[in-house]
Amino acid sequence: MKGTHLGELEELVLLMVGILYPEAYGVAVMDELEKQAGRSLNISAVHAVLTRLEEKGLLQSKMSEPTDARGGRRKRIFLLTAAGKRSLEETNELRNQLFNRIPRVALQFRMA
Amino acid sequence: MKTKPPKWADRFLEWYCRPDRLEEIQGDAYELFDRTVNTSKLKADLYFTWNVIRFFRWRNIRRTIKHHYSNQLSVAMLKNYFKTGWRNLMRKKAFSMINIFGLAIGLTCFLLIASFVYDELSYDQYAAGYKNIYRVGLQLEQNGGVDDYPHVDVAVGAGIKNDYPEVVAFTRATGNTMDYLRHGDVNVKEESLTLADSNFLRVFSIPLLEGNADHALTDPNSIVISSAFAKKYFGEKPALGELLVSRRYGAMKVTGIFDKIPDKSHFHYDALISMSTNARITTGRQTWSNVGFHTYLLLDEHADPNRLEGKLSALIEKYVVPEIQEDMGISAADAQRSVNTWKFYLMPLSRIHLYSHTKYEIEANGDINNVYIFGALAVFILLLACINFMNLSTASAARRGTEIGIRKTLGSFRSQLVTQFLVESMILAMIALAFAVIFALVLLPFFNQLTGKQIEISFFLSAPVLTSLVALGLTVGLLAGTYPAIFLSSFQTLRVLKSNSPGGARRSNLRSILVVFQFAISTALIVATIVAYQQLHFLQNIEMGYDTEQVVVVENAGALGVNIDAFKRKLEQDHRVSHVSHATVPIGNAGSYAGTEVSSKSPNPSGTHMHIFMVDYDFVETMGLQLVLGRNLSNEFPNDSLGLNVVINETAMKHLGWDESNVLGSTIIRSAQLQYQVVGVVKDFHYTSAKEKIAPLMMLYRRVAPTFLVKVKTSAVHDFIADVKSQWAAFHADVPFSYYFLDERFSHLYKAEQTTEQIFVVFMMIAIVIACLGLYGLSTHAAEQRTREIGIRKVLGSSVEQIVLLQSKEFLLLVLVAIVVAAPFSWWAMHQWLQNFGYRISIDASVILLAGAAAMLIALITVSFQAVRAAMANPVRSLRSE
Repeated sequence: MKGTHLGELEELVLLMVGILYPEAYGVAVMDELEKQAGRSLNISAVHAVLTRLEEKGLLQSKMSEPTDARGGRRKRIFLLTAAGKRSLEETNELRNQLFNRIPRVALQFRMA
Repeated sequence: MKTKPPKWADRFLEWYCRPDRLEEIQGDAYELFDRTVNTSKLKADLYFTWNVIRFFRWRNIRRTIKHHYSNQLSVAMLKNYFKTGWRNLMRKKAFSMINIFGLAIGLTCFLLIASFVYDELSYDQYAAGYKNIYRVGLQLEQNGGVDDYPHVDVAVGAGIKNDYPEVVAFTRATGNTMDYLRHGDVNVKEESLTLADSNFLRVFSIPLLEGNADHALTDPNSIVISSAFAKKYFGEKPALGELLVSRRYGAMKVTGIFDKIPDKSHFHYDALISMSTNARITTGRQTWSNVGFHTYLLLDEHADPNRLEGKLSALIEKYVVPEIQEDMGISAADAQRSVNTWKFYLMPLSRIHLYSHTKYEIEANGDINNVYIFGALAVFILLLACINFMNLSTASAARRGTEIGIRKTLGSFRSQLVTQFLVESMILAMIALAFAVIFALVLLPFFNQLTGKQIEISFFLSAPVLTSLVALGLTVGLLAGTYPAIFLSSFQTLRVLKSNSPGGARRSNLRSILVVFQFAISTALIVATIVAYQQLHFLQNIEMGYDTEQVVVVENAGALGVNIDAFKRKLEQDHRVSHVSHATVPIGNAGSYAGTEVSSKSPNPSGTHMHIFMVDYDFVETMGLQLVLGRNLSNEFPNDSLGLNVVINETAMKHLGWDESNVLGSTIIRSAQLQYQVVGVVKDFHYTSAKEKIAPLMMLYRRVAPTFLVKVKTSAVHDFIADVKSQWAAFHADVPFSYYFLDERFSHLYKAEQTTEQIFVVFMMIAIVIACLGLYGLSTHAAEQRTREIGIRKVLGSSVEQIVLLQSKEFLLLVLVAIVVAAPFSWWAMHQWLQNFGYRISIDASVILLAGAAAMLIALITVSFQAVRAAMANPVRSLRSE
């Protein structure tokens, strides 16, 4: 396995799945990415990321109940696993720690 | 109705996507489509398609699944397929019969035409070395056209053999030669004699029943004859060593007897006479610059005929130029110039029949274009029949819905279902094939009559043909069965089981197209038949410009010698005769004669090719020609009797650049020594087939003319002929009396067109029958599908007419489309065909309308047959079962 390292897009998608709980499926994730992060992706790319994350064990999925929409086809609903949750926490923590270690002076700039 | 994304993209997705992912992916794609479709349908379509393409990734693509259990064909399953297939056939006997019968007709046609094509392609292959035999021909340009001779001069064969070592042997024959042969009381005019070199029999591997093939044609005055020929002269008595007396060569000894020349040969000589019989050929001057000897070369196995052909031009330099120089007394340069366009060429023996179309063939050859046209027709008709089969099978799908559903539920793979249906269609195809072979054998005599061939029944029973028949059956089964198999096996299990209708009844676009296709062809063939009939009728009833009826033509009058005038007077004295004329008449002969080059004598002369008739003073009256200007030839004018004054036709007048004011007294120049004065002009008349434009013609007086034209005025023609015959005998002519009627000869000229028309009729009938069978099957099926609907409609008060109309409407619409499609195409094709004729009809809209109406009527009858039955049925019966 390629390790638990999360790519930037993977991290975003993981976050979106969390936000959309319990209604996270392909199209919803794609829309949310556009809305929250301004990232416009093709649906097939979203599917690819979702399946990859599932393979890594960060997501799990189940099929929804069929509705009249989508020609009666079911959706695949994605949920965070414990490992997914931990992975999100770890990245978040790491990022905060590192951000806090930036010298204050470096962040104080003026437009010259 | 909700808008759907583009079908093909959706199908593509379903095709490539792995089943466990299909639902979510398709669902997402649909959701996005539905969202966009409100703004723009086009945009939504494009977006959907784009998504489908983007989803096409390795991750999503279907993998072949390895099953843990056997998916192989097992004997048990095959047995089951046969059994269910057979039961299905038996359950719907009428429907199966239509299916099988349609296919059988198509196959019959295919078989017969295939045998024709095979026969045409296998000419001249009986000689052992046929692959290495080539015929030498001569092409040259003269009179503004290319002349192509299939024969060359007497010395050419020997010259080529001496100069080029790759030529193993050469042999010559003189083509069909006419002579009178006599033995005892039997005295017959023989048309198919030939002089042949001594090695002719060996080169062509013609075996002798009696006599020695190596020496039979060596000695002078030897003759080798066919068995039929021997029987004609000698009856059952042995012929070998007997004498036959020829008018030209005297007594000849029979030195060999062969069975007959094979049917598939470009010559069919009845008897071969040794070349040495004619001493002028063997010991006379060996020339190069004439024609008349069919010369065949046997090449070495490794020789390259193209290279040899390239080298032949050297022979023209070497032999032809000096000869012409000497004969004509001209300079070498002039002689060279006169043969600039000469070319000796080689024609492979086996190609002569289909590819050689010179004017001087021994017999009328076949035509490779006919082979192509017939081949295309055969494939076409077979295709029509296969289409029928596909149509009917898919239409009957509804009946099979439950079976397919249950098979699928019980674990059939799609591939197994496909196999099952293919097996079924192959069973049907094989049954159809069996019928087709029987039909073909029954129809063979008629077919032979139509095509003038002698294909024998044994041809169909030979091992290679039988093997290819089986292969054909399997191919047709596969061809016709594939689409139904795929279509039937694609039903969704739940849907067919729930509703018992897989949607086979819904209008299939493909099926509609196929019906349109079939009827378009039928309509086009109806148009073709009508046009061919009209044209033929037109040709046969064209105003000939004279009366062909009641004219008896007596041939070979030259044999009467000095008694010619006495014979004529005898005829004239007969009260039943109105006029007698003797003349050389190409009338009624579809002559290959291109005419003699002449020009007008005037300040700006114009030239033309002129047909020349040698006639006597009574010709114009006998034939009932109309003089428009000047006078007829007459014995009162000395120049008429000398053949220096001529009567021309109107076309000749125009071609030579004259008109009514100046034609009389004008001069026609044939050569510096030969000039003619025009004394009269006759109205144009058709002296040969009306397929040809009337050509320029002049008539001049010449006493030696070999044919008598006798105009009679009696209905008892046969008694008259008998009397003439006895008079003929009284003059002790040593040739038999022979005659024909002019109008009969004319109707012979249109034989090719009659055959064309017959062939059109046959193909039209077949196409219509096949199309109707298909339509009948489809309408039966449609009626069946709507039994309940019709029942309810009737209960609610529909009339029979309304219901019939309801059912027929859809099919008639298809036929209408077919007619619209066929009209311009058939008009164009027949227009092209008519260009072959010098005088032709124009196709008007009524022909197309008539054909369309006919097709419509046929379709209506076919469809309403079922529709009426369904509409008349008691609704209680169809509704009770619910």
